[in-house]
Amino acid sequence: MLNSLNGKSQASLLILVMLVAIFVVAWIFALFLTSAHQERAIEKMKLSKLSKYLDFVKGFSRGALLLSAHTSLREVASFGGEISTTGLPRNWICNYDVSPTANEVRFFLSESTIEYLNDYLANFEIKDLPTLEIKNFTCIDYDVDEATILSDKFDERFNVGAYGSKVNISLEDDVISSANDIYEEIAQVRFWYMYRKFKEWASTTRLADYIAECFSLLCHPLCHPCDSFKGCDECGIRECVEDAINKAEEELTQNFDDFVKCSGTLSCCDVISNLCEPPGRCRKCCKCQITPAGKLCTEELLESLEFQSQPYSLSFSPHGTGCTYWKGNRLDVETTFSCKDNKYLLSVKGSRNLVFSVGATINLENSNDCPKSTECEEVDCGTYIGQACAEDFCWCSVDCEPQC
Amino acid sequence: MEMIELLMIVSVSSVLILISYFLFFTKMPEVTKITAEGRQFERVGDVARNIFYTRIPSIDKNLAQLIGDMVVNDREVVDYGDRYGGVNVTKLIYDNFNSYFENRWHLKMSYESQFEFGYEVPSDLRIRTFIIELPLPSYRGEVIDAEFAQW
Repeated sequence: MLNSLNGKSQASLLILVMLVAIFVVAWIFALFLTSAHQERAIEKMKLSKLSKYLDFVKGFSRGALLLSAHTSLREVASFGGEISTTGLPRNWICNYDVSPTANEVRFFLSESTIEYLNDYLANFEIKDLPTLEIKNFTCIDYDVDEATILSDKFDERFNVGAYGSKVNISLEDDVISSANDIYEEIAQVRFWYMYRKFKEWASTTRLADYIAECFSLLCHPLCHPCDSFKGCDECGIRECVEDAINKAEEELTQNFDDFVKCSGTLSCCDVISNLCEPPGRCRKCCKCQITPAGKLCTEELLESLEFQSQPYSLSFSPHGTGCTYWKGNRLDVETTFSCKDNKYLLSVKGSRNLVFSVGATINLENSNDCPKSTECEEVDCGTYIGQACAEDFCWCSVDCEPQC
Repeated sequence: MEMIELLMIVSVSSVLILISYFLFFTKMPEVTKITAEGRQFERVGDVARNIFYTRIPSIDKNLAQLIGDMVVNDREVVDYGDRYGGVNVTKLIYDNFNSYFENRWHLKMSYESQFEFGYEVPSDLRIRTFIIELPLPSYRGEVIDAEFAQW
């Protein structure tokens, strides 16, 4: 009886111990499971947070690239396809077509965009993320080429790539690193459309011919042949040159659609007419503003971008007859042609129209053989007294017949 | 004797069950809370990211660009030229965030003046706030903080 009671008691104790053991194991297991689950959840959340922040940095970079491109496109367009150090637009005409290639323009766009873009990155921070490192972009590529631009594919949209940036984001012990390369579409910016139309115009415009027509005014007898010429404001030269610019501006405007308005401005005009001297070199209005482009960061070496110097002046035969009382004439003109696109407005600060401006400089000269004598002598020209180049020529006024 | 042992088994079991109860039911809400917060953050993060990625079809611009133009030009309706005319950016902001969060969001930012959109922030709910850094049209890489709250 006692043995039986003892046996039952031991069995109960065994059950009790087993029960306790099972619960302890279950408890430890559950504890481990719960904390592991919790840790996983926290870890997952941290990683998710980091990856969201990374996405956000990349999104920000895209937005910044878009705005940088808009600002650069406006700036480079206003300087005729380059970054100007003088504040004047690039010349597309220096007597001849000297318009930039697409790669030259791409170079300046890249240089300008990378500067703006890295400024945005420098100002970027995530407030609740103490360790955020963004390495600057090293290369911007406007993904266009001359042939496709001229085929109008990039008239309203094109792509820009930004490369070389890296992002490091840390949160406690977790770190995410990633390349921050971006490729963004720039839409509703008609930069390459303007470039294309200006390019077509620069190769076909008759601006130099129109201005050359103004030489005939120098031959008018009223234009004081007994003295050297006083400048652009005499004899209607300025008005004539302005008319010539207007004609060229009309040619330019006709190239564009109705959203674009163009204007031509005479910024400098000079005339030299010498009785007995050749016209000599250009003294003002001689600017041929071209900043040489460098290498594109995406290519080893572009085609040679050295500036090809142009002939100094165009020689023109005098129009008509009766101009031989000048030994030589010069007519030097600097002008700026600007076209403003009203179809789309840019996302930029300040004026939001895309305005494409180019410079055009025309230097004309003609030389006449001084008839018979090259000696200058004092002649009495009736109402005028001055020097004449030839013995048998002296033009004073309409009423004054040649005296010599 | 048997009764005592039975009592011991019952009491030990009860204690263990109680411990287990506390173990499971007090830790689980914490995990649930973390997961819920994570999900909420993910959603807000997605929305913050999408304002740079998603282009609004009718105007072919993303919301970040539109907001930047609105803030710099200090007007709700931003002119985009003869092709598009004026675009009501405020309406597009509401359309965009309502599609994600209905009336459970609030967005504010300040530049030269203060801009506020969305709905009143409740005081009795958990609010998830995300500072969206927005680039503005600028020559100096200007950036503003747009505080986005969601509940």
